[in-house]
Amino acid sequence: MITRRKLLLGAATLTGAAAGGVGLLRARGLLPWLRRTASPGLSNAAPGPLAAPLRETLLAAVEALLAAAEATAGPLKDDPQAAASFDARPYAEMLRSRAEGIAGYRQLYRRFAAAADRRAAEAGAPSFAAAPPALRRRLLADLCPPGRLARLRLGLTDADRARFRLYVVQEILDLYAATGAWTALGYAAPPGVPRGLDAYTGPPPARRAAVSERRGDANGAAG
Amino acid sequence: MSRVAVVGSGIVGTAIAHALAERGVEVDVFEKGPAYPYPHEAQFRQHVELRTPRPLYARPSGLCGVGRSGDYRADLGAEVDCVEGGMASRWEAICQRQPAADFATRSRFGHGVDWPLGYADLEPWYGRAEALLGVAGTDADNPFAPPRSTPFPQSAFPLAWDDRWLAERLAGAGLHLHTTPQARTREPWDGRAACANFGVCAVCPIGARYSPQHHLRRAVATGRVRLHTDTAVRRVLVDAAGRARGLLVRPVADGAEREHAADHVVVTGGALESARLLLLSTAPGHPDGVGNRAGHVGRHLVFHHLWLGRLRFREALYPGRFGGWTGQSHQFLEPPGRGRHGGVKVELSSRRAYATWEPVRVWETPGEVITEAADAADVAAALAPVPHWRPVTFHAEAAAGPGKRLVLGDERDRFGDPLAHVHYELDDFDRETYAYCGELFRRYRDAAGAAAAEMADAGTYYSGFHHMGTCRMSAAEADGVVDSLGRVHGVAGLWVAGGAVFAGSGTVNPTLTMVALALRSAAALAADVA
Repeated sequence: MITRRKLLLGAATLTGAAAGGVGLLRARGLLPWLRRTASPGLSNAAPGPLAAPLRETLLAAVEALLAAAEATAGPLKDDPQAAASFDARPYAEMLRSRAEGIAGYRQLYRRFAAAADRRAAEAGAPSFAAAPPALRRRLLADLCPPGRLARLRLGLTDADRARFRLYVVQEILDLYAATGAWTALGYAAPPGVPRGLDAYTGPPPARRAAVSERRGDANGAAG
Repeated sequence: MSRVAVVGSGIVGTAIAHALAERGVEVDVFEKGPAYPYPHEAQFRQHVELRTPRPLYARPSGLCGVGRSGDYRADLGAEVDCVEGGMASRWEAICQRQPAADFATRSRFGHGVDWPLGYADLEPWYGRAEALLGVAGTDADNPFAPPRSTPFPQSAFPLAWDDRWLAERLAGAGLHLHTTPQARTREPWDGRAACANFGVCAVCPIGARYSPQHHLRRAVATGRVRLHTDTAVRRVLVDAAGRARGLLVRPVADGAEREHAADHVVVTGGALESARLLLLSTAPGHPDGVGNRAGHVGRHLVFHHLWLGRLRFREALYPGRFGGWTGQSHQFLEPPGRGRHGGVKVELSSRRAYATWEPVRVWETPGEVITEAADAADVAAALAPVPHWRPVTFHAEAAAGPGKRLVLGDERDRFGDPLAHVHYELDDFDRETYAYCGELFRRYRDAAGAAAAEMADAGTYYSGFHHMGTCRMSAAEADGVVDSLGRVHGVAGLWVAGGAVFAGSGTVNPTLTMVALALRSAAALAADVA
């Protein structure tokens, strides 16, 4: 039976703990702390070249993340081989430059590959790189799920998985957002590709296609 | 010992150093940031191809920084760049002449102060500034442009297809849209390659978008200009007679502090850092900072206020296929209500309403899209509306006032010197201006037949990196810091140039006016030296 004294003592303890916790968080700066937790930094481990198997695992992640978009929204949408035919070179170069140029990346890539292979083995695949793209996507979503809250949760429980999301998955998606996403939307080329000074004064390629499909549309209005 | 010591290697410092070198004057240029390769191929590769999180040529820590209070939300520290070439190493390169009315806001509209010079005084210098930067433009489609005695050096970049689509609709409602003069090469110009439309102009890999390094390298090549990068200027030195005698400088890394003697000192560190340097530089007779006997240094700080809006169309317009600037409107620079509120430039360029960098959060950012995406298909889906949106930015005049000022703050740089602190808050004039922008926005929305429209709230404004007025020009010392040539009142041999000397914000992008004023100052300075 809970006595009145125990109840009061418990309430006081809880109140004190809550006040202390809030005070502590406020003193340390709650928001910066949350940001640091959701975005843990990299170690100072030495940069260096990527071994071939490691590179293969990373590119398998790139392929898994990109294949769906390339196959469903991109210019190759009618090509059944699209998933295997996108250009991985810019991604390979990005990963190489980080591994060789910035402390902590190569070490994190190794840990990412080990974790991905472990999960692939648990799912019955010989390795992450050898798993089918759909399984790879599922494994990635499970290993480092999207979303700010998910990353905060990972930051609290398993900081490496938050790093995988931040420094592997999100950086691959960031490069896609700056490049392939624009051609997927119908732009002739992404920013960074010299496009000359004539094309932009004419209708965009996607519009030209739409206009030619409609043929009799005098206003050229297309959806 | 040098004849002239220039503080800062940005577009203004470079214009002055280059002009002086052409006249045979020996110049030392001090830049606290590192050298910045030109053309910016390396930066292009890092920024565009590798998207590196740790780019080279980042500004050194503990050198720049600006404290902030009031209601300005963007990071002012990010608006002060410390690299060779300064902010103009990464600028948008819009180059417009300030209309005559902007020099006389007190007498014309009853607010602010009149400048101690007028458009006619500056007109020839505008022409020289345009030639220096290789400005491409035309006034043929802009009935609101001020008169000019020289043609644009290069033909204009034409409107984009979606600009013309929009212009047709706006014209029906009496709304004008015209091309934008800009320091980009329409054709090969002065040793610079013609623009190839890479579309990432902040790191233009071929020098088509003007960067100050173009002329700084040439000035150094004359042998009359010495560039000292990674060297901080901590004080302007003034002798007992009240004349500038040089600078106190210190290498940013290691090395001893030293005095650098000079006959003339020109401060061109941007409006924030220039005012800070004057405030730090106390001397007998100048207890509150050199040039500050009347208390004007930092007091008349003013930004342009940029409010972002965007219009959504049922049609996919595919804006942003040109990296430079296309459409805008000067139709509302001098509206009937000017004086009660500011004049407004309307930016209607063919750009994506989705930036890779946002100074203030108005709508979803690229970072948020990527954070929430499971894979690339999610990214593409989130971006799918982009071809339907076009941005409309209101670039508004502001008025200096008691709620806007720069002082020395409590935070310190790596040498222990106080950093600048800016207090900035909107006043009634600014809120009236925002209300006027809202009226304009609704006119544009209705005329264009937009299916949806969004506009930032009044508090979500940013400066466009246009900082002005901290060392404003005036005819008399009682009213400002420098005269119309940039000579600091009461301190012989000390000059200030750049946005700091503006007597009001004006209505258009300030850089061409800064360069025109700088060339005018350089001619006077060369005469003084001679």
